[in-house]
Amino acid sequence: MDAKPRLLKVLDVASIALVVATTLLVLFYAPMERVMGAVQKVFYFHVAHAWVGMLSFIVAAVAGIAYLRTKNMRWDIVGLATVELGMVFMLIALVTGSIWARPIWNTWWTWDPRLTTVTIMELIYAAYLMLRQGIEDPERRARFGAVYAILGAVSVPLTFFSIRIFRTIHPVVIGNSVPGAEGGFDMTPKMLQVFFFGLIAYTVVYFDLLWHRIRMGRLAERVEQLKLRLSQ
Amino acid sequence: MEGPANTITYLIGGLAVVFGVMAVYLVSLVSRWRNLRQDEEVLQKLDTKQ
Repeated sequence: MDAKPRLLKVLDVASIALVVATTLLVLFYAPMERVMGAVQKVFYFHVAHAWVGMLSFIVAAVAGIAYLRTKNMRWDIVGLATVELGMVFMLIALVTGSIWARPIWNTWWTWDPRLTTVTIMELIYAAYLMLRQGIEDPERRARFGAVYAILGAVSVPLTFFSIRIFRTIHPVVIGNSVPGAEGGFDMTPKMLQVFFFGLIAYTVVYFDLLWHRIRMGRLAERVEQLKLRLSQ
Repeated sequence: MEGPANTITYLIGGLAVVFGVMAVYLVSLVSRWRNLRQDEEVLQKLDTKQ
């Protein structure tokens, strides 16, 4: 059995430190928004998790392309690992967004273009996991998964640009403001510092977790091969 | 002038979701890893016996 690499141990410690630092910065360094109050601080976690979720799905598409080109099963393991992580991060982004919306929009949920596209994206990748469950042959599963991940990645730019293309109440904090947006605000320099720190911190956490999940995928592959060998 | 809205409970709820969901995922990762390791050990023993 391969031991945990030293770099992964370093990444584990760095990830924990970065999450703690982000939380402290959000709570004690970032200024209180003067209209929304404390709930605005959820925004730092919400955007960071949404960013990582989208990054995960883009990585899945890249892994899918790499698999189709090389037929190397390692890319299939990467694809599955990153989709699973993307779903977790995107779920957190969805729920924290809903919590923010309750006092600001006076509702937990509305079928706004951004919320709708994010939900569709999450369901697309839930279907990816179900599709994989239904295919027993590993090579066929990997091929179908790769094609699905590439097609599914179309939902990422659609989700990202939905608040810039369609009429929406979801605020666009970075870039152009939307006239009908409710809950938008201008970020102060301190807010911007915490915002970008959070993005970087959770990106590091993503790569740390991805590495762990890939290692687990390789272990699962070894177990599957052992089972096949013993059954023959 | 009015101060900011009192929305601290929503912030606490948001933090609970951020750390709660991640904690559940981490527990699931560790649990699946341990199960796979056990499976691997058992299968390797069977393989060497054969």
